[in-house]
Amino acid sequence: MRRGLGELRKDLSIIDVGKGTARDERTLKLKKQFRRIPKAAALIILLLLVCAIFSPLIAPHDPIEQNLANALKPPFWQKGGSFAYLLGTDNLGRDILSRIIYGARISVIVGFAGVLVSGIMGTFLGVVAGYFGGKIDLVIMRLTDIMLSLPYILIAIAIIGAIGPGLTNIIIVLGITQWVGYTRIIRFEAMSLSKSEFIEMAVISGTRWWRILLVHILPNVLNSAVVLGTLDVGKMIIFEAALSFLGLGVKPPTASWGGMLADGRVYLTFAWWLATFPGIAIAITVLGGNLLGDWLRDELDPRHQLKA
Amino acid sequence: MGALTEIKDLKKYFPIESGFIHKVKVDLKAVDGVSFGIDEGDTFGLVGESGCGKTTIGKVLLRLYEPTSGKVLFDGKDVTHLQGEALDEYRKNIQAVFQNPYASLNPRMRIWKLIGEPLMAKGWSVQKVKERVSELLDLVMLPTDCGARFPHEMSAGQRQQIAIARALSINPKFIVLDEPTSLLDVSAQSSILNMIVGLQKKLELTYLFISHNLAVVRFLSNRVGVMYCGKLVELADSRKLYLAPKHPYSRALLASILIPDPELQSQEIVLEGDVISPINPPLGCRFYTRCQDVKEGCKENEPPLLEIEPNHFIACHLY
Amino acid sequence: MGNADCGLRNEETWNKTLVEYGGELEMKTLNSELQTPNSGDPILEVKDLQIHFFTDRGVLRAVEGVDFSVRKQEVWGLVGESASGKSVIGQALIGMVAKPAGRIVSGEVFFKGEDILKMAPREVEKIRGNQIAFIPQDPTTALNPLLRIGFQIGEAFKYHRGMEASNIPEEIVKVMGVVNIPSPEQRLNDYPHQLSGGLKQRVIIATALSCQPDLLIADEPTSALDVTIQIQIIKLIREIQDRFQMTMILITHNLGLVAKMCHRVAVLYCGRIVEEAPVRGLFKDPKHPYTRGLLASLPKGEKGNVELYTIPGQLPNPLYHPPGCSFSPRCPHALSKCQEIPPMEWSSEDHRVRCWRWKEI
Repeated sequence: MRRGLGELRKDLSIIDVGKGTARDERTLKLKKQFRRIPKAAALIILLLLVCAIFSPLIAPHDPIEQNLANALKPPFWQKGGSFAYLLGTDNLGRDILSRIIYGARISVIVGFAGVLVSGIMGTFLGVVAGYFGGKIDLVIMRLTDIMLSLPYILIAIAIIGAIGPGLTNIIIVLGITQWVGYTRIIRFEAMSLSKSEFIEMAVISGTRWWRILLVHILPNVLNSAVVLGTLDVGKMIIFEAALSFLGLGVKPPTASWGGMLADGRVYLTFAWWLATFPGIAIAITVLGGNLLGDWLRDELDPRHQLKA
Repeated sequence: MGALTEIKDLKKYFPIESGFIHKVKVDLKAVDGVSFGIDEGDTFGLVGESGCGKTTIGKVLLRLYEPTSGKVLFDGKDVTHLQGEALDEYRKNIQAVFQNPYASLNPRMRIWKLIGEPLMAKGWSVQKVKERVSELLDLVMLPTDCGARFPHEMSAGQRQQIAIARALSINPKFIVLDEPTSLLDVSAQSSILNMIVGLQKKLELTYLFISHNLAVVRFLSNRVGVMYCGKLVELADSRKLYLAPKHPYSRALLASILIPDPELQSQEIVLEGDVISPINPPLGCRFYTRCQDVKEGCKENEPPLLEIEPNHFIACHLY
Repeated sequence: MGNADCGLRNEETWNKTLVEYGGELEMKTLNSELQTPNSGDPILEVKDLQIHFFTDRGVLRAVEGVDFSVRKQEVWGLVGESASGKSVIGQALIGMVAKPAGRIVSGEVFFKGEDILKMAPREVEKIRGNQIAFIPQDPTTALNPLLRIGFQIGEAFKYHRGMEASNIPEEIVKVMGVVNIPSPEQRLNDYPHQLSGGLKQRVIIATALSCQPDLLIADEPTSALDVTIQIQIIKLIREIQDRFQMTMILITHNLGLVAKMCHRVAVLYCGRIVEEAPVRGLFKDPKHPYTRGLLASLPKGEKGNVELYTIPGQLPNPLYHPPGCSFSPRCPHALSKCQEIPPMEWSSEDHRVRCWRWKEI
């Protein structure tokens, strides 16, 4: 409000009036094209997918092939490094770069599958809690309270302890612990949707409750669920990394970023590249996921329509 | 002609919690003992300001709410506490059109699905639904190709036309119209109003028209009930009411109509104070605090609804 | 629909209404207050105001060249349906056009002789709230729910009149008395949610009045209120306007409100003024087809009476205004000439129309 009428003087300068409008229209078109795609996020996600899908084609070496003679070689720009092993090798002589590329597979699978499982569970429970209210809502909410009060690592340890490590089991653990984030938000949306007029109209029309949930409520909460999901991808990857770090993740010798972090920990002081590069990979991927999630949230928000 | 719909001493209370430290459970007495009947083929206008309970009555008739006490009769049968299949049967006879053209249509469904929803709920095949939807679109004077579109592509007036089409899809006898034109521009309003009138003649419908806009109610209704704070204060044929309103509140309401003619201005009756909250209504006449014609006994005794002339009921100690 | 036709239908129905209303509700004949105060240098002159919104989906030409002047001590009405641009004009006069999408692309707004669009921000702030006050549509969102109302009313005193903190509460109580808020001393410390809609609107009006502005702009001041409260507020505004001799701009879509309150009225369609006249002239002898259509579509009479007139077609998409006269696609009298924007012409001393064919129809 402070910059109200006075600032108009800049926008107004009578000399420019004609040009002003045309200039705005051209800028508008450019801005329009640019804003559609979040460049950085798209790039990162693309890179990730390419690595995951085409790993055998891209990776210079076999990620699990050991070559103790080549152990602990530094990255190529340092003394002792070579172009054969661009980012150096680990303690067992395995190429870091190739392991990172193959590790993307684990991250992609865990990221997407984890989000899917927890997302579906969480959204379903949220919708049910929000629409029905009453006792059902109470039970589900108490459940979320319980889940939130227990540290997820503890639960993960307990479950993995019972069923053993491995990729599928990690996804199960993620599903069981991470659904809560969705439920709270989706429940809130479902609750307000349930009071809206078009739901009343559906009831009057004689639509059954399961159809209302499926056809009316679910599609309208999907937006939020998707946004939450994309923001969660990063969380899943970090989760997997944490579990692998603790030795509860994927079984060696499969390359996983978390596992690489764990292995590289002891070597940090003198062979920093073992842990640093997987760490960077995790950070960039999580960043990409967050940027994508942010952009999606803005794109899907109907109030965002009117902005220059 | 017998009454198609009747409500008898209808009460609907909503329990709410009041107070901060000491939570007290009080009842929001949205509707507190209302009775009237609507004859077949009539348009019954229910007027009042916000919080008077008119929308609640509509929702009780639609069975979106169950009454706290009292009865709802339809076609002679008691429908107050129907459930399950019997409720579905009842729902075939009564549909609704609501106020907000933006909130009453699911933004993610195509228009033909929205209009055909009551039919799909009955298990009609997609083919038959689409045929019926075409008929309905014709009936409400919308181009038949808009079935494939989404609600946000249509204007507010067109959305209300869609809502009307949906209400008509299963051939109900009775339609509850809750402020269908209040959020529309003047140009859309007149076409929707004409359509409502036209459809009534064509399809022999009975309407309950709920509104706070008295000019519109006058245009549409043959019988009008005025509500204040959960109670009916006057009930009469529309012409009688608008010609010579008797209850002080009705008179104030009618005096508040803004007539679009600078030379015709009604005598001003300006009420003091605000609309009463139905949470803890006073013991006597609810209009007591704002009435300019109070006399002894108004504060302590609630006036009953009495028939002072044939078909003209009023709840006031002055009569 | 010729002029005679519309006029006759109107008068017939209203005469019937007159007869029917007989008994209880008297019809006042011409109110002397409704005469336009002929004295009056303009306090506000707007010239060729154009406001565009630059959005992802195109340029929204909300206001396309609007000229008008508002005379001292009159109530000037601006009537339009949604997307006509009326609210945007109100916002522009108070300097609140939504940024960054909205821009005043050209135009001049002379308030008391000076172009406020060209002023420095600080000078503008001295005027806003002080000499030009604004009453927005929804009192609930216009008040800060976390601040006591006494504080909110007092802000203007503090800022514009630089009063000592100790004197302010007295002044606040005074102004609350002006707007008839009961027991103002107690109410000072209330929060907005403790007040009803009518009271909130009075608080807003009190805030607007606190510096005794010369010009009051009211954007749909009563549409969010119940009808009996509406009448209270209308009466209040009229008293205030009388007492403080303020000029007022009333922005609304409600023609009934205009008939009751305004001296002169302008009708806005798709960002252009299509007709402007003293209120009697507009209702008795509307010249523009749109105005006539509007007046004819208002519900009147009883059940079974006339079918309402409907203006054919619909309001155009605000992004794509029809070329030339924006009303032409819906106008029963349109000719090919209407593809060019008609100029504003004077049909009589105080009545102007923007239509090629106003003389013939």
